[in-house]
Amino acid sequence: MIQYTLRRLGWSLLTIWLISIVCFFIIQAPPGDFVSVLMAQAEEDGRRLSAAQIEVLRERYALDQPWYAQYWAWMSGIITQGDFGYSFRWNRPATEVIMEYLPFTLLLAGGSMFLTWIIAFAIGIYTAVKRYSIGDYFFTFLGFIGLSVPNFVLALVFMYIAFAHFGMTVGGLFSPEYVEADWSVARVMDLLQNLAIPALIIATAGTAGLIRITRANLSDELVQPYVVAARARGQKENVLLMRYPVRAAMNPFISTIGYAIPSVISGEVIVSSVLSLPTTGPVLLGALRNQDMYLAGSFLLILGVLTVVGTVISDLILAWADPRVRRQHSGAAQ
Amino acid sequence: MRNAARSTTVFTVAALALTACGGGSSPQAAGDQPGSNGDQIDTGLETGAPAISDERTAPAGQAPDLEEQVESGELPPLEERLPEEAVTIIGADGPGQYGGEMAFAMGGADDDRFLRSYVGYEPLVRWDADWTDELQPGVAQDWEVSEDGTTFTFHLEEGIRWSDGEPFTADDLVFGYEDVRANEEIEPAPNDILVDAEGNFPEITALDDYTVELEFSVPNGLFLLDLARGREDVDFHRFPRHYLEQYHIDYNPDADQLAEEEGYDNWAELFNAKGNTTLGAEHDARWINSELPVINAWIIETPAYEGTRATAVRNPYYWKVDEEGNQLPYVDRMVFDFIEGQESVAFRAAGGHIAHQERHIDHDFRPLLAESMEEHNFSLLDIRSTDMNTAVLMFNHHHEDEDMAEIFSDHNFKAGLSHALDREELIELIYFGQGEPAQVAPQEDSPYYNERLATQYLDYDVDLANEMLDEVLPETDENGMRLGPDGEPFTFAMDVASDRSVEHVDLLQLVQGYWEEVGVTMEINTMDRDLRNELRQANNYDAQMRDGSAGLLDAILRPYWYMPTDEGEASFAPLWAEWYYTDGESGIEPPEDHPVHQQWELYDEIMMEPDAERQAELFDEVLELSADTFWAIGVSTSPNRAGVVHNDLRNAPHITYEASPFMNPGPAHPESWWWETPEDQIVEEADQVQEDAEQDAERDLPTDD
Repeated sequence: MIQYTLRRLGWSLLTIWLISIVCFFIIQAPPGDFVSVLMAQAEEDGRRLSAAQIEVLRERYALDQPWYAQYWAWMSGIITQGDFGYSFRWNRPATEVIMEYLPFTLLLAGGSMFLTWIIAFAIGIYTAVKRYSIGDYFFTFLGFIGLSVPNFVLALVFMYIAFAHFGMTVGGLFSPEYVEADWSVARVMDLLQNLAIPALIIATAGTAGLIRITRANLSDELVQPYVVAARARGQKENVLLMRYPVRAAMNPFISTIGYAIPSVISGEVIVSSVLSLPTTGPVLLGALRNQDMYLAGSFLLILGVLTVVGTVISDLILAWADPRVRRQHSGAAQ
Repeated sequence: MRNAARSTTVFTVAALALTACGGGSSPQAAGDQPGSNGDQIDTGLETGAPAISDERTAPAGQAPDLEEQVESGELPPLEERLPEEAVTIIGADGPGQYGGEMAFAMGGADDDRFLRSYVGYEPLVRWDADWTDELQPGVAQDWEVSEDGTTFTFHLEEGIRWSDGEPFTADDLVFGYEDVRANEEIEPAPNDILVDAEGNFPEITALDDYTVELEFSVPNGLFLLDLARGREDVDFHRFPRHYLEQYHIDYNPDADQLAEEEGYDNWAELFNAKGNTTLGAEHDARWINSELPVINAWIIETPAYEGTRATAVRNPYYWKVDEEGNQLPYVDRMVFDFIEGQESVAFRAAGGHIAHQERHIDHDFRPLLAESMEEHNFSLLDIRSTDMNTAVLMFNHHHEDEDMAEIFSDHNFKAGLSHALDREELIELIYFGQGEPAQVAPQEDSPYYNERLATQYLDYDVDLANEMLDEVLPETDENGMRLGPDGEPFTFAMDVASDRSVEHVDLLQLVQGYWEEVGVTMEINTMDRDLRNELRQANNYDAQMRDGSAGLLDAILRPYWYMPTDEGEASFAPLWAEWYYTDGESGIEPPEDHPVHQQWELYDEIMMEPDAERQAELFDEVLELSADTFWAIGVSTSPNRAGVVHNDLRNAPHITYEASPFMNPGPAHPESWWWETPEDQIVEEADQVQEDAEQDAERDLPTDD
């Protein structure tokens, strides 16, 4: 197990390094840089940056250097000082910008993951037990609708309904009167209320897959001899179901932790942009559009690290939770 | 084409009538709106917007909260804070009442255009709200320009105080120009407007406490118009000397140390963060640093550029009053929420949660707004945009392939293609019938309207088109498609930035069809804006398209649609433009006999010409030459846009012009707008909300707004 863990960690470090290079290269790939975005914006605003201004800006942001030199400067800053570079657009260190938006993002991501699990877990078990029933078809259909309708369309529909039928202010994490308020029970309630819709929208996309996996796994387990044996001994059906086959069918939940984190955060980009939530999504989108390269790079790197870390954690949890996985690993290690 | 102009007017009138029916208060029809106090005051402006009165008024009243502060001794009395005879603003709905808040939806944390135009439009000389070329007194009550156009003398409004109570004097302007704008460390690359054509800063002298003289070494003909734009990187009267000296190395030798203590690299960075605008990110200290003294109607309270909301509160030292002597502004607080998504902005507007808004309301949401305006008590603004054309089709006049360059420069080629366009159908299909066929030219209600440029080659006439194209590309293949000089089928590619405008791609597909009819093949290259700009700069394109702006008074300030100048947005000859503005250092020199040289000479003359009338005459000559050259093909006039205004908001005009140099709605004096029902116009206080929530909780009900 220790050797397995060490090897996993070693590979993940290498992966992170590769991710950082790819991130940086991709960000640099599109034509133009932050200064050309500024020029285009000034132009649309009826102004013109003078040649001298452009030169000063390019020099200040070190945009006149080749990409590998910029990469080196960025990477060595991160490793030696934990400095992820400067956001041109926000005029602040990139980490500061990310940290400002991260808490709500994690709250939203956590909330929607929680919702995904609850919904998928309940429906997954139900559909596996009542296979080929009307309920099975209905919920499966619902799940696939959620999967196939794009998030932003759902967001728009929810927004319209909230506006037209409930007269709610849409957009933002707080209702207008709470934006500047101090933290209070009422404010938290308001936040949760405003979070519910986006969390639900993001969750709909992820449930269908989990429902199907749970349903398939559980269906396999339900016909296993140990289930039959337990039933023969007079074990109550509910207790039996939850105690053995469901536990065995839980594996997909654990192994999705790894990719759930980035997918929730990237799903959040569109939904947050439409619903105007102060989360990292719109900031990342803006950074990419404005060629705010260190901010965008730091974001992508952090997402990449989260994915890798998530995968490692889920591998380890899986090994811990499932004796079969653990056995295989120790077998492989020997 | 006079017809077209007339029908535009008819359209506007109809739109006005519609807004009026919807419960709006367009100035002409405001008498019958609910809650209005009857007679409208004529402010002398067509748009009905507030204006500066000829009479001054002695200050006589102030907001209740300021009254309290005076009574408690926190604030000096009114007469000690304001000039004895203060600048007076009159609005159509007359003097109003204090109180309430105005709410807006900014397009993001750095969309400070809102703050600049609603809170910060206090230039030395200002536009009026009708956007005529007659400049109005601003911070300067009067000014003189020497006959040769080199010397500008400004007589400042006397008795203005900064928001901390210190007097505002000529000394602040001298400091602003000499020690800030002309300081290389603070501004390594000053704005072109601040220097004359030879790149020199003017001599600036304070003749007395309220008189400043600027002397340029060569004439600077457009200086006053540029000042009226109130640009954050040009204004030199925005720097409070008494406050900013402490951060300036020339006045405080320890400034560098101070900067280090506050975590900045050097004193200049600290200075910019405290009182100026940072180059690049362009974060303006006026919207961050609440300690920075200003002369605006409101002072920043919650800073912009971070979080989700910026707010600004009344400046107790604001120096303008209404005709009864009440100190402005009427409204207590300005609340700007940062809303990224256009959909969210539209829903917020549709719910009646916005006091007044001209930007970020997309055309597509008009039906939603129209549907809910009665229920939520707001009206639509009629916004006349400076955009003069929906689509400008531009050919590369200095194409690297000489044959192509020759064809693209050929008058007959462009005129023929123009005649081949069925503009009526285009307008019907793409713009739902809104707009009139038009070429790339200043709009009819701009002072620079040139009929020939605006209306030539507009008729849809395929035979004439073919006749003209036969002069350029006479050979055709068996399918009737024209062949190039090399005997191969003639094709070119049109670059379009699809990330900015979806309808442009649809439009080009129709254009492609029309041109195929006359035997010309066009490929459509959809791309990102940055790539398009890069291809333009690299001279690696055949043709590009985008929408045309600067069609009103700004045409003379931004003439690049009518001649190659500045880098601009135009793609017909960007490298010739570069050759012009870099004085031949880079770019490509146009052929000697090309009329562009004459255009440049004329424009150079305009920049040296102090007299506005003469400027207009010279600019007309520029436009005549532009008509001769026929740089670009236009399609149709841009439809008016819609904004929203709350029905209880008084004095706010319901017709406005929109252009970035215009700083709308700043010229319409937002400080003189007031609420019919101020108590309803408050973004609820948190305490109040909490009480409500507690009551709700007692009743065991979910909280809902």
